[in-house]
Amino acid sequence: MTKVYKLRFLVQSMSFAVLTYGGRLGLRLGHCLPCFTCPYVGSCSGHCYLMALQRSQWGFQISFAEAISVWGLRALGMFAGFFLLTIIFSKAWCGWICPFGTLQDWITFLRKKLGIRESQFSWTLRDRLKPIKYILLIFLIVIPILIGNAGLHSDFGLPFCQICPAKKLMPIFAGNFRYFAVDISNPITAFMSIVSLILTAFFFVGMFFKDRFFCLFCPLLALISLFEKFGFLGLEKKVDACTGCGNCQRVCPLNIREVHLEKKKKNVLTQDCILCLRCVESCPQAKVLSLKFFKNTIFSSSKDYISKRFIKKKRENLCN
Amino acid sequence: MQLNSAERNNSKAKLAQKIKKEIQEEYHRQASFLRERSDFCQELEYFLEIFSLPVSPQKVKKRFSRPFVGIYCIQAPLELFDALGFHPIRLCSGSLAIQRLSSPFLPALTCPLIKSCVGAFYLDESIEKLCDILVVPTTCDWNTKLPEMIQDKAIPFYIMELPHIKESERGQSRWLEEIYELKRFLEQCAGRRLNRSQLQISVNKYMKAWQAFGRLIEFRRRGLICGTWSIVLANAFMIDDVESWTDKVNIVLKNYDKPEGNSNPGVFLAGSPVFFPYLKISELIEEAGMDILADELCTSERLIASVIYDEPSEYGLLKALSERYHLSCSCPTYIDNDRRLKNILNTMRTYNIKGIVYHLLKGCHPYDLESFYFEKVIKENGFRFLKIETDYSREDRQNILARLEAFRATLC
Repeated sequence: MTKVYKLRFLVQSMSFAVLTYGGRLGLRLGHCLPCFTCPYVGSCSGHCYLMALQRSQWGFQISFAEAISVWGLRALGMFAGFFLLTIIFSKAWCGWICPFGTLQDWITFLRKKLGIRESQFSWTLRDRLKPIKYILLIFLIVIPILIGNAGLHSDFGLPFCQICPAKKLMPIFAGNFRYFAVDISNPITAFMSIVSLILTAFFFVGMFFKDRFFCLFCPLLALISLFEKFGFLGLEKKVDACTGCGNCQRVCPLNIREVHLEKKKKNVLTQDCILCLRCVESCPQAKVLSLKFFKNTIFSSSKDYISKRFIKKKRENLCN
Repeated sequence: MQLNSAERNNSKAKLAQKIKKEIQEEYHRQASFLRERSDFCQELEYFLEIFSLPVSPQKVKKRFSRPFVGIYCIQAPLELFDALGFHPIRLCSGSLAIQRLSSPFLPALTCPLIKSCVGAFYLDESIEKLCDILVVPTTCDWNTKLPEMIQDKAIPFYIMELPHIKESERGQSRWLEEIYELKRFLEQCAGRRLNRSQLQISVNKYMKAWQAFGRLIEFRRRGLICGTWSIVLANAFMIDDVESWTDKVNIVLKNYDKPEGNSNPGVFLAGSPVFFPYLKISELIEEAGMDILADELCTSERLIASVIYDEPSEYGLLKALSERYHLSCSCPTYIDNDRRLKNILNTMRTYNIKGIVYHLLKGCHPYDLESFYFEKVIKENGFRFLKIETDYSREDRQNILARLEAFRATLC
């Protein structure tokens, strides 16, 4: 395990613990966190912003009349909180903090231990999946608007949360299996809960065979990436010195090709990037890839790093 | 008639003996020439010893106990051979004398390297003949046609079809398929399955070699070790056992002390491969008063790259190997090869190298083709450019030296 990988593992585990169990200690981090800290986990210490976005008090489920009143201001305030948090840590929310992402990384860790290979998507399929998260994002905004203004049944409320696999999987860590139940109060809830069960099973299997499988579809990732150009963190590449060895492309949990293929632009922080820094770690060319905070380099690629972190001195330590 | 044919055979054998002696002399002369250099030290003797092996194949057998696989070109993954218990040797030849065996039946403008390689099959014993398997990746046309040139010898070559577009999905997946096929073939030859942890151990071995090689390159960039020696050391990697090579390089770097007082202008050596005993170009550059601070030869700096894998599954490891040998290679036979020129310019800027010597073996078309565009761009970027077209012969030494000396004057 490499240094950054270890550090990330530590930060992820800590934030998992804080965000999932912090509520029991009275910790309240607000309702606008840009990560999947699920409000349905009873003991959570902060809420995922996607819920606020779909709600009546803080999001889009309001009528146009309400929107220009105090409610609108509250929604705006909530967004401001989200925006601020987003620009500070940018995609690091996904790669370093998000508890659902951490869960996926743990599952991947298990798969690698078992020596099972990751399944591969073709380049075309990978590109076709990209817009799905934006479509989900549009739906989770449009449906609450329709509830607020066009009289859509309120059981469609919080549409994304209803189908989100995190709502089923994360409460397990607080000992709660309740959300696996099918709600048969009316046809809408029955339909939604059956769809959500199917999706959860699909994603759970997917996560095992593919790194960060859910992130490929995550609407919150899409929302963060809309504001990433205001972010303080950046991933930069010295294109002239890149030999194109492809290490970055191969180790990327989201199979991003742009970092490898980019030959002109300096900025390689792309839509799907979760700033896990695997690419920077694995780049053998000095300072070709670097993580920047404003203009300051925090971490950059080097031969030394690879020599120290990827080469095992003794044979016995090799088989992981 | 019978007598005649016996006589003919006899004279043939005599000629073969004579050529064999000439080859030995050629290797010996080059080695003693290197020994006499002022920057020779005892630690380097090990590498010169390696180059006594091609002329005495029996020593090779004794030295390396495993069965041999001969590989033409650098694209076949060494780690895979190593993991399955073979000793991979990258076959290459810089011998002029050996060409007398092959030139009668090859086109006049054949790449000298291939001419020499073909000649080796007409010796009564050579490393090539010791190999149990000969692997040929189809890089340049000469390599592709190599099996055909020796078809009368009926040697069972294993051909790897190399996709010439790297940065596309189909190129990458086709090469991965080739690697899988090679694995299956080697498993059959070895009579056992590939062991995942064994492959990890091999990858780690070669990563250590990469690390040592990286240090060697660093020394070279700072002018602490000269270009000729770094090329010789890299050449030795192609024959030697990887672990002992790594150890010896580390020892050399630990003890190497270059005589002080050298402020020659640095140059970049690009173009066709240079392999022992053909070190004419690098020696002449140094004789003309320039240091080769960097090169991009496939027999030198391009030899070893890093293999980083995230997936310890067999698929993950083979994918890492396939990409390391495919994507990171900047051979001019690739179509999407624009990074090569950018990297050269970047190295020259970083290390303040003012000129580039573009070495070209007569008949090496891919490098020749690229040289014209290179010249234009390199000159546009404010660097000096000198193209030298030559072969293994020694006749043009004075001529080249004069051109190099004139080139040096433009660098100061």
